[in-house]
Amino acid sequence: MNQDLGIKLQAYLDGELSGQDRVQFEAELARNSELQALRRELEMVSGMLREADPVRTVPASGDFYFSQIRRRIEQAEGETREPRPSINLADWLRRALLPLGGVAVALLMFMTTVRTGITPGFTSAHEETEALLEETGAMTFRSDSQSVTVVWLYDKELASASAFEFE
Amino acid sequence: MRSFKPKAFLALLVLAASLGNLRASDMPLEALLVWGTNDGSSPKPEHKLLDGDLRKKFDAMPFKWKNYFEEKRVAFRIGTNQYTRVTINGSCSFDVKDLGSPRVKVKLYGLDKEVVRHEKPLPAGETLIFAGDDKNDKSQSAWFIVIQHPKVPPPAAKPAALK
Repeated sequence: MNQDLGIKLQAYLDGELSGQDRVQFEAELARNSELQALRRELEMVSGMLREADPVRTVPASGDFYFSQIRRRIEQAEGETREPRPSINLADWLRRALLPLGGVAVALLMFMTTVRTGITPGFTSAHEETEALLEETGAMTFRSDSQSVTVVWLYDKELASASAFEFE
Repeated sequence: MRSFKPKAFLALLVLAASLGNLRASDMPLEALLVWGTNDGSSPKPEHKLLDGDLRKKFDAMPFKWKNYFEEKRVAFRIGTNQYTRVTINGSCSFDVKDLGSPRVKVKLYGLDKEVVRHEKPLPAGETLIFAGDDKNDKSQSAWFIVIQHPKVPPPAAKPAALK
């Protein structure tokens, strides 16, 4: 048996022959006993391989199924949803009012700073006292409740006679 | 119809801000000379008993005196460009300047010598007091130079000096 017949037999068994080729090969197969023996042999080997190598299914996780379901639902919703109108008044107002609000706040802070000299949130409460004479000392007392700062000047030599009483 | 011109709008905004800044730099202040004593009356008849919010502030402070007499009071305005000189009496005066934000810097003079410098925020309602014992009275009385930024600006007065 030549090699071409063997290849054709393999193609026949795989269902790859059709039409005239198939008819001609079946006629040859009916005449050729050697080819029939090879056919039986190949069919036996193929059957043994199928039995020896069972098909195994890969376990799929629940997330995979749920994601597939969600994707299909979303796809179905996308197909049925009507297209959004190109101009939405609420969206337009939101887009316009947010930047305008920011500009208004910045402008308000700027005008407040200009008019009062105080930048909201940036007022420094730092105080500095500097006594410039050797014989004179200075101590500072602050009452936040009364909004009063007292700079008490005293003669260092007479410091013990201070009239300042701390509570 | 004329089109909107951003550059012109910005120029107007800057001009308005500049005018506002000029007004804001003119800070109204008030200065008082106050005597504290335990006596019920002042030896000087022109003194008047301190009253109002300032008296409440004095009473809330840890001073030992029972009575406070107002000897001088003057309203004035200060700017950011230069010091304003306020003369309290023949031996005492101070210079004050607005540093902005609104901070002030005060230089207190006694007998033409600079005694102390003090710098602090002085927003409306805030009070700064320089004080000391009366050396001639063995600490039985004390002097207070009060500089306050009133919430309600005092009536306009000539800047400058106390007599």
